[in-house]
Amino acid sequence: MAVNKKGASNDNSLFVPLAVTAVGVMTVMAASIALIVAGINAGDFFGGGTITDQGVWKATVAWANPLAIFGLAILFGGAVILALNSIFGHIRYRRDSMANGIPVILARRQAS
Amino acid sequence: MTTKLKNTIPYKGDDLPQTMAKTMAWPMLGMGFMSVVVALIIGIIGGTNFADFFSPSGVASDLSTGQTLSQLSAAFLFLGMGMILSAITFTLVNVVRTLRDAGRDVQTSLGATAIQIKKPWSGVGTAPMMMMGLMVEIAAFIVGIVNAVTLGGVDPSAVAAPGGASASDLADIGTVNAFSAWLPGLRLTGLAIILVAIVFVLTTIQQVIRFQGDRVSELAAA
Repeated sequence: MAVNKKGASNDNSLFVPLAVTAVGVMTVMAASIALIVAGINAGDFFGGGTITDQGVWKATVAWANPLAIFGLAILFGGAVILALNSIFGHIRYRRDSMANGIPVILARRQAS
Repeated sequence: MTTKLKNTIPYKGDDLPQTMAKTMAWPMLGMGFMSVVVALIIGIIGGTNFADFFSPSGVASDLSTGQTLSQLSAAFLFLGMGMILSAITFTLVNVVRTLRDAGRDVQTSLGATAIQIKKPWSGVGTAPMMMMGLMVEIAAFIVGIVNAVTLGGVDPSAVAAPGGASASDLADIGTVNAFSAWLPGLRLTGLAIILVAIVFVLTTIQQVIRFQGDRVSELAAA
């Protein structure tokens, strides 16, 4: 992991999990909006609407529910897994910092 | 010694969301699990009613009861899933708390001033995002109960054969179908929002771990 002038590590690992999160949420939101439209069509159909209302209602429900589940799958299988995986790199970075830093601190303490 | 690391503050204890996470993680998990178990039991009873309807001795009320219980079961199921995911969020917040306190202990043992990373935006956003997702699940639960009660009030013969239903029963059946069309979307949106909170808290954990590495390096270089 690269280190900047201030001694702090540069971190570019946040972008990918957050981007995948955004894609997952947008997918679920799109499906939800489609399902609201389906609900309006269902209401129209039972309120004296046409067979077209029933067709739109049933057709939309048929694809929008799997789309919403697909969005959740992106969140579970993509965003959460990526965020968990990127923790490993940071744990290794902390291990290296401690492995290198603590002997120096202890040696300095003994010398004083 | 003081620090040159950016975005740090002197060590401080739990704030309100962290205290809430400490107190509520296990109760939330328990409530969520119980809700899912209730959903399972209701689902089994509903399934028995459906089986009765399709048996030779089946009557229209079996179908009506089965459909009503299906609505109830889904309502409890998603409320429980929302609570369980919220409990996972709280547990991950407790991991952040433990990392922070462990960092304080290490710094103190090295004779340094205990500092901590200033709460990143992902940490600030975790609790509101989780609460918003849980509120969506609770709203969907209430709508699900309303749906079940509405369906329960319809004449069973109208549920079995909507063509011969009275105008008010047909309106109720229409309402239930319209709600049932968008309710799954609302429930899944609630779960998605809680999952965003989980990603937020995981990125916060990353930043806390990285900060601790930076702090040890700084103390060694001082």
